[in-house]
Amino acid sequence: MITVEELHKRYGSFEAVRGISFRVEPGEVFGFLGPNGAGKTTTMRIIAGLIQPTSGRITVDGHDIASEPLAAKAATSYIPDRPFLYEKLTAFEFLQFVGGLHRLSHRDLARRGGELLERFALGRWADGLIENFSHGMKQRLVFCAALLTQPHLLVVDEPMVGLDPAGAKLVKEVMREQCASGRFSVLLSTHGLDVAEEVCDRIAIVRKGKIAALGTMDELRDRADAPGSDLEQIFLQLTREAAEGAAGATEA
Amino acid sequence: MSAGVLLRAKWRSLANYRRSDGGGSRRVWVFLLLGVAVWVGILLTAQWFCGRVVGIEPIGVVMLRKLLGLVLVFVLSILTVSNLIAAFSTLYLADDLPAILARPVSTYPLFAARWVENAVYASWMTVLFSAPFFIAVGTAMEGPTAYYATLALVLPVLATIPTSVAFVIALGLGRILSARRTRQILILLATIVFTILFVLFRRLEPERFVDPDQRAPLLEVLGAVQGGDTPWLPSTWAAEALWGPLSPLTPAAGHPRSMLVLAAAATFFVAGWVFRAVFFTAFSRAQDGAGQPSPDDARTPGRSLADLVAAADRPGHGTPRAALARKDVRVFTRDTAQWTQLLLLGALVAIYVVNFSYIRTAGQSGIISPTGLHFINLALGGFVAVAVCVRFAFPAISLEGRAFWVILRSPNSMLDLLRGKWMSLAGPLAALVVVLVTVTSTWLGSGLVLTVTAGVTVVPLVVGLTGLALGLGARFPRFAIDNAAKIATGFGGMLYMMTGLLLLIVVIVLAVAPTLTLQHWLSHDYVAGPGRIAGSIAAAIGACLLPLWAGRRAVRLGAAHLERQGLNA
Repeated sequence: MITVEELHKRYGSFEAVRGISFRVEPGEVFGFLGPNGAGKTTTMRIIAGLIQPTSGRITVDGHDIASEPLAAKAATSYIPDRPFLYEKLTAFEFLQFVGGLHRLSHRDLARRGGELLERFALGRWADGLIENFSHGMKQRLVFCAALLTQPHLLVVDEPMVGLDPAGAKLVKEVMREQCASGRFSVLLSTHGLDVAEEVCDRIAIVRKGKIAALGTMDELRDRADAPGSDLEQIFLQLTREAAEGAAGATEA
Repeated sequence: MSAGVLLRAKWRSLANYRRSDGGGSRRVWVFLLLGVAVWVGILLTAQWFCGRVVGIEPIGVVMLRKLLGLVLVFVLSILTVSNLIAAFSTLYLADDLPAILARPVSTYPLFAARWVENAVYASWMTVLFSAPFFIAVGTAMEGPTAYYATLALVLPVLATIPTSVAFVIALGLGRILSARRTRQILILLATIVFTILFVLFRRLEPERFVDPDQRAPLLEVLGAVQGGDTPWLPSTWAAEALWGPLSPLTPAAGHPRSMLVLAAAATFFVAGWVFRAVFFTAFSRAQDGAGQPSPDDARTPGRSLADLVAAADRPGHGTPRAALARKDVRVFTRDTAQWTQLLLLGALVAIYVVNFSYIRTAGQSGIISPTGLHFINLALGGFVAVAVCVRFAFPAISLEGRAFWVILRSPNSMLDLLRGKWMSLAGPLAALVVVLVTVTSTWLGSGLVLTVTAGVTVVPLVVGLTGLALGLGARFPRFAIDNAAKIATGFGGMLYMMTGLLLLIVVIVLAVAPTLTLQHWLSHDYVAGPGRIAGSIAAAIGACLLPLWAGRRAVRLGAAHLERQGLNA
């Protein structure tokens, strides 16, 4: 579904992403974990087509995002860490706007828009102005808009921020359901280790712009030499190892 | 916590601008150089103009005195409008207010800090760029050093009065009405400001100085000037205070300088007192409408989902461009903050029309030929177009704000979306300017040929200016600023004003030869030689195509920048 090869992103003299490579298979939920400033959000934004990489190659659903950016964007939906929306639109108008940008037919837009708003418990607020929504309601609306266009890849940056337990459960269910079709994948960045452990098929741990470890939970446990550990212990162990490795390399 | 601590944060944010990404330091230097160039340009033009006015015997000096009063009223009007608009943001909507109010900040330091911020932000540009005119008045009258010293005192002191008055009005309205009623507040403010502007302009009667019938009784004119225009206005005190050193033989009545300083001090203390009395209540009420759902809204979400789905399940939702245009219209009609743009548009049109009574009488008195009037009309119409575009087209991309990611994420070419915006903005703006230019041209009695020529000249000009403004707005977007009035005050806005005015001048120069050739042919049956005809045709094509090319180029530049930089633009 998505292939990332030797991705680099430089801001002036600072290199935020330093040679990241990975693949996400169809039907897979792929987790992206790392401490603050590790380069997760930058990577997600590059994959979503919101910023351009300094170098590297990304293909989404067979489309190279450098040479076929519009096709890649059409196959992808993105959910940012903070749901900035058009506050003066209503929820339904926002979905109409997104549908219009994606050239959705009026029939699909009406049917899917209505279904998604009901599914995400926003049916009652369909005609309410977004400026009156809570953070969690906005986050749910962004999920509706993301799924409205029937993407093949969902890029989600911190999905659970602002969601109440019911909303978080719903989002996890929806992600698993969509992936069960086998034609849909999720690339998920989160600080919630429990969420990653519960939802992700594979996890990449990112530190200082590089992937420090990548694999299934079992593979990461082996790598951390910590059998039976939960993700938090593995995460701390692997990020510490990566830090020590980097310090050793610098001293050498 | 002192006012200095509060202001220091603002100052440091400004000083750190040069360290920000995107060539902050380079931009500061370019901005400064451009600013100095404009300032010097205004000074030289004003010196030339004031010199010419003083040279008109025997009433040149009297006219300059009147002009000084007129400009001061104009400056005071601009300061009042900009301070009023800024005061709502400073007092109720600023992002930093909740964080500051959660701290143990005393009332008066808070008032002083907000007042200084509002005064500097809303007034610096007007004060800075009106100063060259007043300096030019001094040089034309060979004024003594005391004049410039008085100017250095009078202009900043005059600028503080609108700040205090704006605070009192904004605090009073915020206390009486809930901030959820911002719409009503703005409409009320618009009515007040327009009424004041209109009354002030009519009281000054600028057209009487070129009207032969009015000019004849010189003693009457002199009497009108010496009697003072509007004795209770601070601008009149400022004019009296400034004129004193220039005309020591005719001392001003009363003590205008003292009155100005006392009025500034008095309004400041009144504003402080009102602030202390009502600010926290008014701010608290303002928060009722700032992003939190009220129980009423929660219970009344409007139409049901079934109704909305049924209404949406109809053809006609169209293309991405149509979706974008529909969204823009919806946001504009609901976002009262953007309505202040309409207020400024109305003020521009009002000033344009008022100026016309002056130009018209100049034409009737034979000072300016009909063809000269035609080009002045074109220049004024073009100037209105430049000013309208900086308010409506330039902020069009920045107004997407932090929600811009939604558009950036969509599978559409940025160039295509920008072209859609260009077309949807250019139509109404061109229609507005064509109506203005046609009506005023007819009013001037320019005749059918010149009126049609004016209309034909301004359409590509306005379309091009709209593209130029939109493109430069996309090249220098300010997504973090949600106030449309603030967006155009940065580097990109200034660059647009320069290039827009340059484009206007070039188009008018190009239009001279074809207009004259056409007029001579149609009105006097004079057929020019082939060389002149070919030159006129080439100039006419240039006048039409140059703005379109500039607009297209700017839109491409803006689209390429947004695609390249994405969210980092």
